[in-house]
Amino acid sequence: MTALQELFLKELEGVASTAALRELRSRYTGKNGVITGELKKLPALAPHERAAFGKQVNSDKVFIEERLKEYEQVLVSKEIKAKLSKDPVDITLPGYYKKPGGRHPVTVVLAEIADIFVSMGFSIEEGPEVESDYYNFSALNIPLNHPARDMQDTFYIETGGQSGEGAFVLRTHTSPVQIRVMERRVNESRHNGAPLPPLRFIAPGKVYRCDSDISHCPMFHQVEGLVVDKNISFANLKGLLEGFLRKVFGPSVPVRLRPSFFPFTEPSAEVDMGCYFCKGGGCRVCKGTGWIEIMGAGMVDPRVFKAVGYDTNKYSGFAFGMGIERIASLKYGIDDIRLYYEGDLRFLRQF
Amino acid sequence: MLISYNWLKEYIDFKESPEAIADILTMSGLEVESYKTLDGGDVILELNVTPNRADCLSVIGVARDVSAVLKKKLTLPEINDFKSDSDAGFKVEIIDKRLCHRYCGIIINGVKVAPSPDWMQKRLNSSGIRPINNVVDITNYVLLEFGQPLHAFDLKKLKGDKIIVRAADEPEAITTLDGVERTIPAGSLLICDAEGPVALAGVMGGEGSAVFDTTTDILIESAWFDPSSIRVTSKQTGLRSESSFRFERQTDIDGVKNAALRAVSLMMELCGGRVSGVIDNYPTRYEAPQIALTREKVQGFLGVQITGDEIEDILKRLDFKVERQTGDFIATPPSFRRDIELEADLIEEVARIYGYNNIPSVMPEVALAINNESDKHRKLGELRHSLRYAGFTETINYSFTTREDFTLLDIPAGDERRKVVTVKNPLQKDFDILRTFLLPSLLRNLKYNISFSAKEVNIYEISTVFFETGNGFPAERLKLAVLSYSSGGKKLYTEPAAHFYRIKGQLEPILSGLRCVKYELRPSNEDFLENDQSADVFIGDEKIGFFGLLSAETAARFEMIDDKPDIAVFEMFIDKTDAPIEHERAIPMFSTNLMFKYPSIERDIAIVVDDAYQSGDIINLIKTEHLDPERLIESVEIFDHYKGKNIPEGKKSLAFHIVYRARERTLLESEIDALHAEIVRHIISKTGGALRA
Ligand SMILES: [Zn+2]
Repeated sequence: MTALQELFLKELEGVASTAALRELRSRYTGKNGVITGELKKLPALAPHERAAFGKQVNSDKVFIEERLKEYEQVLVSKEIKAKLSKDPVDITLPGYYKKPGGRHPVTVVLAEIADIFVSMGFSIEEGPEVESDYYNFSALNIPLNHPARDMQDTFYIETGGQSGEGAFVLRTHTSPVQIRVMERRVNESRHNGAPLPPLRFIAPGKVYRCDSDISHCPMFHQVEGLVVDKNISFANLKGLLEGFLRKVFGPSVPVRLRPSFFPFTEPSAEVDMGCYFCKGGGCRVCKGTGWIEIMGAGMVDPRVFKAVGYDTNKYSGFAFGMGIERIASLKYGIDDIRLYYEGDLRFLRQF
Repeated sequence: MLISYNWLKEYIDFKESPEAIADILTMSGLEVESYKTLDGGDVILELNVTPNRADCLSVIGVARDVSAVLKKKLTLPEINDFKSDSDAGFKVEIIDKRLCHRYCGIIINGVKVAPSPDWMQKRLNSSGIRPINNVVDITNYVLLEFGQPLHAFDLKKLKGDKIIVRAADEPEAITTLDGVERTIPAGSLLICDAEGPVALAGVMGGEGSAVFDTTTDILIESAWFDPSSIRVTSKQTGLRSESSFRFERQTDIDGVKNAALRAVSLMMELCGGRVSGVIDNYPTRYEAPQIALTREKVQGFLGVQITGDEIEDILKRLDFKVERQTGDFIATPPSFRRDIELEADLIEEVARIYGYNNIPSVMPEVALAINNESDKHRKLGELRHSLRYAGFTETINYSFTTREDFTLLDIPAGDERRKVVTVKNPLQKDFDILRTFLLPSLLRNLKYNISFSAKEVNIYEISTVFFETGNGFPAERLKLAVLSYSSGGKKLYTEPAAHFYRIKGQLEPILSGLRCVKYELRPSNEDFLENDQSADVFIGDEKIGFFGLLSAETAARFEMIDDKPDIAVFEMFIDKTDAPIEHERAIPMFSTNLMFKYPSIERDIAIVVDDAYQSGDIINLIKTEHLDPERLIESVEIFDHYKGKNIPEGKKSLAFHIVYRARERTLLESEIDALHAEIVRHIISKTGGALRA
């Protein structure tokens, strides 16, 4: 160790703050510092001594800079610690963050349903909420002046005096999307000459019925589903819907299908699942039957296939539909459907 | 429909309990919604009969289905065929044979009108029909028993000894049984005597020919009327009856006379009298369809290994005529099953009696395919996710609203949002149009939550809105609206930015999430927003949205008065940005242009300018092209915006951070000093501002 290095180390020992360190640094390595002073001695030396002296000064410089750097880190950490210890945190105070908002239960359930079907290769389709009488009724084998129209209380839209089959309605179900998608496929197939591809989609969306009480709202959400291919059977309908309901409500939930009537399916089925609340023993929710009606379904009626131009000798298929609020109500135990549309944050933030 | 368990038992001998029968009916297509036990021990089942099963709108109809499921014999009431040689000089003339296919009239003289016996009154009551007198009660009893509506006329009140069945050429007047004088629209089917209408066919009888205590001679009508004609008349007149309900669902044309004779049998027993005329006018004969079916089709369609014998057996139990050659069938439905037209209808009959529970559950096998159609769903999911984590809660509101919105929000005449779609039959007066924008709904949500003392309300809605187009389908567009309200309550940490900037901070990531970069902000012309605290969003010349602070006047109109306007809102179309939400735009190519390897040089500028200048103006000046031909400016960011102490009134201080970088070389400090100084001079000369001391 050179004398210069020893002197420096001695001085460094007395340094207690980053400010003092800066002062020391400038005194040794600054423009007019000790190192510069040493280098100024060079010209006075004999030529053969210069190289060795220059090397010596340089190694002093490196030594000093390294020590300064090391000691600076020590001092900075020390000073930060000293500063923080003067201002300790309250570890029980809440962290600063934006509280996430709530999701609408309808959106939550819709997303869950969509995930299940998308995972099985279903696509997601849409249709307009204001529909023509044709798509909402006639094409679905619900003719004008047929009692089947009583099954759905319908909102009509002012479109300039049109009535009957020229009328426009707020769609009463998502089933018109079946017709629209199949029509589109038939047109594409006619256009490119390719055979009709297999079809599997769900169509979620708002639907409207002209009634309102504790269990009915004038607007609610449905998901429609359609599977069309060669060799699709009623057993397939059962298999798919049982699998779906067990995914949503648990692997052991009992599911049963019973005969029913929808104009656009034949055979038609009402899909019931074992009552969630009484486990089949009978309660208020299931009206004592142990079963809860959860979906409508059936094999696509040949009259519907005919309306869109599908050959019923080649293709068969099934359709199903469910009310989202109904599923959400069962999942979360919501007993007043109006809660969905009041925008009450105390309700919505729970999802 | 209400069905008595004991009455059902009169036709089939079964041991099953009411609960078991309810289950059997439910599982074969006649859903029993509830059942209740009466005082006498009988059980009344409430059936939900679907519109296709008109044959089950009667006790015998339901019994037929039970017998098919239980494989038990059906015993029908004995009916005397009252043959009469004469028509007693009475004529039935069917003019409209399209709307009336069969009309059977039976004349009985010398009846004694009195109350009907107790057992009959009880059955009517428990089925929801009010007893009147023995003659009327018998017609109703047979209606419940066979599902065939009957009507009894007081024969003496019919003029000219004849019945004419015709459609009204023009509106005609009749006073119906309920005492109301009605105008019957043209086209409705009427039952007339020689002088005029005496009944609205299939819907309700006339008051003038009704059976009273003094009636002695009656005409019993049993007929088949066209279902949709009866439905139209019933709808047009607003009259619904047990009769019209059944006629509009199709009655059993071959059972018309049988039902009339059943009524006559009961009359002989309960009212006395004698049959003096039987008229059966059946001009439009019913031919049942013959429907082909194969065993293979049934097996394939249901996915079940059912045998030919089982198929034949089920169809025969349901009264179908079946011709069979091994696996091929020709089935003819009975006349009361007019709903059976096609092969699929036969398969449903087989399936429901075979039992849906006996069909296996098998997942479909389908070919894999590329799924191109779910982008929108995914993108909306991402949007909802980012809004959620920015603190916003989703609401869903009704699509219905009221024109009052336009007054409340000062929407000018001629504004796009006034092109509303009107609902013809709204549920309530303030639900008579469909929404064209979402803000009013969010304001109502806010008001509702404030009424529960909410201090912070951050909500959004994504919904379709509707614009009238004048030709059929409205234009349906997708909108997003966001509302942020803070009551200025006490908070642990202070908000880092003013409300306007917070709402703008929601908008910007949404726009870039929608890959919308070419938008432009202009001062808003919305009257419901505060001037100078709001902006409209444009893409090209189309306004896609607005954002800013709600004006104090508007808040007051929604009865949300506060000492300062602290409701920030934005709303925009999200289906028509430069990358429509339906399809993902092609992902831009990876670029090394954003990853230069030469070092940057950074400089700040802080300048005091007139309030009129916006930060964007200064950034544009910094980026003046001719000053920087080599494009050395890599980025400019504002880091301070200040008014107040040390800054003169009417001025503000803006500070920017500029990063300079060359693509191909290391910059020299000296050249950037020169460029930066030139930029500063340029700003000062253009704005008349000064460097901040
Ligand atoms: Zn239950």
